[in-house]
Amino acid sequence: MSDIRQTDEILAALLLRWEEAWEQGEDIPAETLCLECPDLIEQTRGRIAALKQMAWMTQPENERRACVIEPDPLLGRILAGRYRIESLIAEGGFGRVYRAFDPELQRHVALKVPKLNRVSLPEQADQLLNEARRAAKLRHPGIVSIYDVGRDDGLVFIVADLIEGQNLADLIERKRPTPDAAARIIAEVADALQFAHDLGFVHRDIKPANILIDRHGRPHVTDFGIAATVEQISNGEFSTSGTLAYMAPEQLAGATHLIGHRTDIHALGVVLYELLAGKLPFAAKTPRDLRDNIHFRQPQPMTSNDVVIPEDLQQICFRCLSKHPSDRFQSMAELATEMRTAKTTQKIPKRMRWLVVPVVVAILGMMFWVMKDRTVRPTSSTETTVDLPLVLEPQQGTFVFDGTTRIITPIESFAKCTLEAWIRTTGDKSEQFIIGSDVPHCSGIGIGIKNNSPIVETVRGGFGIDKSITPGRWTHIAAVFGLKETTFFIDGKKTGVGPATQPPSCPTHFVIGNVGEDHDGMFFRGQIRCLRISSGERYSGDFEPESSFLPDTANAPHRAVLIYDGSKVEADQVIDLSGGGNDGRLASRSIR
Amino acid sequence: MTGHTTKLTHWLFLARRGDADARNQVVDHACERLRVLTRKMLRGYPTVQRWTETDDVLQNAMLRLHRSLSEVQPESPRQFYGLAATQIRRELIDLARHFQGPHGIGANHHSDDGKIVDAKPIEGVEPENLESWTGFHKTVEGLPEDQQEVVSLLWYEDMTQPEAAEVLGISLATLKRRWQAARLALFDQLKDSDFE
Repeated sequence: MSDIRQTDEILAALLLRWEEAWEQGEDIPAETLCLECPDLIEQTRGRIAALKQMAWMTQPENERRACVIEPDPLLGRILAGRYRIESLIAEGGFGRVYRAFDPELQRHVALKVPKLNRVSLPEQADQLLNEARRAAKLRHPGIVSIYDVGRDDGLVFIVADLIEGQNLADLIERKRPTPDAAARIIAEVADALQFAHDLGFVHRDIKPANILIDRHGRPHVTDFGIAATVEQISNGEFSTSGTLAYMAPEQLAGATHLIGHRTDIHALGVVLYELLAGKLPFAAKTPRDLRDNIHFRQPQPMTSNDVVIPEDLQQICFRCLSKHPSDRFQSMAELATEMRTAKTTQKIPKRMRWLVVPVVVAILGMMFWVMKDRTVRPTSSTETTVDLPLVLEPQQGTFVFDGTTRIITPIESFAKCTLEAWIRTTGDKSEQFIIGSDVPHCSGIGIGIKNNSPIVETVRGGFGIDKSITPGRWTHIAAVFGLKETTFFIDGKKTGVGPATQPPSCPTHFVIGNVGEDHDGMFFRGQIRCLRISSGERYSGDFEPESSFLPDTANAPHRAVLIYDGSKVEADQVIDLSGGGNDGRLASRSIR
Repeated sequence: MTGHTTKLTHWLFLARRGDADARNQVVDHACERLRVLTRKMLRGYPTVQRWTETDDVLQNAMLRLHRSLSEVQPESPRQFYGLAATQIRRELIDLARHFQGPHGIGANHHSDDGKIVDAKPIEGVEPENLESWTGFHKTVEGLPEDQQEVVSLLWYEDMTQPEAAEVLGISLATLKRRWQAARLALFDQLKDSDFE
């Protein structure tokens, strides 16, 4: 059943994308929509045909509406001579969020326009824009970056990263994550908030609607300080704004001296509760009752009809929801560590064990039918497997390499070091260079791929890894270039050991996506989501790869000297998130 | 919030406080929707507008709708729209039956002097006659509640998607998903039905 449901979810997402384009006059073929899931082409095509047949339910409405209701005057408009507003993404108490195109940097952005009544006075607009400018300093893979703020004909607007995906509130309503996934999401949000707290920021309005989930399932915290500021402006308050259900007792009491980073921990606890139980921790029929319950009552017992909630996660959640800040976790880092070490699976209670037998029988039954289907289905000539490379559709938030682009880093190659990246390959079997430093006419330090299996260069020579990487799937690869041996990891599992690495004899920069800084030969055909270069040997045994890379703390045994993330690129500059200031340069070359 | 939802929320507020004009405004809005949808349903019958009976029948339907909505005290736009859409659907089904009956325009189909043939062809599974309109309205009644609610607001009540999302208290993305699922479900049922 879950497979069917998952397929339906994917189909719905594809069709929404098709409809969005259709409304703009573009008819995306099913084949294009389903590049990553070709088995859904037929179903998608059928449903597109169905939606076209049902167009009479939408077209006349639009025509009539055009006469009756004023169209959004901002659609199609260019703000500040730069941002062309394309469509409305969301609307709420804050105002409206549009998808806009920035021709200067040739990218889509999210453009937020607060409601006019919220910023009708010049000082209110100034306050909001100042808050946005302050938040623009936050650069972290888990925080939606603010690029620009501006005014146009009485409007104020904020330009931010466009995260293609959905917000956590939608995800909770649509398909609540498993406890394991919930723990990962909360840990990553906590990482992002720790980063902000370290820089002196407190969000003050953490809630599922302010956590965006991108297409890779990674969370991004948005509206840093902005939403709360808008509320403050509206209410004439300066410290206690937020969304009632997620507010901490000190916010409700206006105890400004207690409001701080632990206020965000309380709000994140409410989000965790909602993720695990599918409901809010404090229920009430009126806002007044809700305030009383947050102040004085313990959260409702955490139960869920459809999932066993692990005890560890419940304990963490209740600690976040402590009434007094000093009883909560003292930092987001502490919370993140707890989330990552918590047991996220729970032994099935005795009273539920009787369910296991029918479930096992059902699974075996399904397996039988799947196997049976595979066994008896004749293979027609049209189903012959053709060993062709996948064509990967460029995705926002990733680096795409096809020989025309490379990223040149300012770091000169060195050993000992650890290179790692999340990559997605096409299945092209040729010899490709992914990341490293090339020394013309001899070996450098680097990782490549050939016949779908990784290859490693260690200055002294190279060696191959006897494991394949599945084309089209996001895979974490890491090479630890040590002075005693060189080890290779796929998805955190040690898969190969080779000779020791020797410090490079001539200085060359690390380059990503192409064999060298100013020469060609081998290049990567695929995508990189994020990558990290660390000094020293970061890994020795198996590990759980992080889904995105974060700066190391000051006392960490290894230091990341460079972290690039596909979502953090400005014009041709790739932002280094490690804190080392090693921004990279996107360089283009013509296709060979 | 934009458009007529804002006004309706205001009227509902006044209506609950006993403002008779506000109550009439709220109910008139539903009646206007009934008129528009009746015309839509009858657009395949061009000569019908010459028939005075049509207006009389529609007037009676609107009076019934007016009476039924006047007797309720809607607490919220969501509740009001849900009720109004249900009433509108029932009146449309009754109207379709009336026109399709032995003395209805369906029975006098050929009196159109060929104008029906000249009418703009309707593509897809859009209902083409009163029988199929009846089927359509009944199919909507059979949709899951969350999908039916969205069809009621967007199609029967003529709201914009942001307005409907606000009335239902859901995100625009969720609304779009439900709207899409509803149309696909309707298509599946309409294409297989006899009244295609």
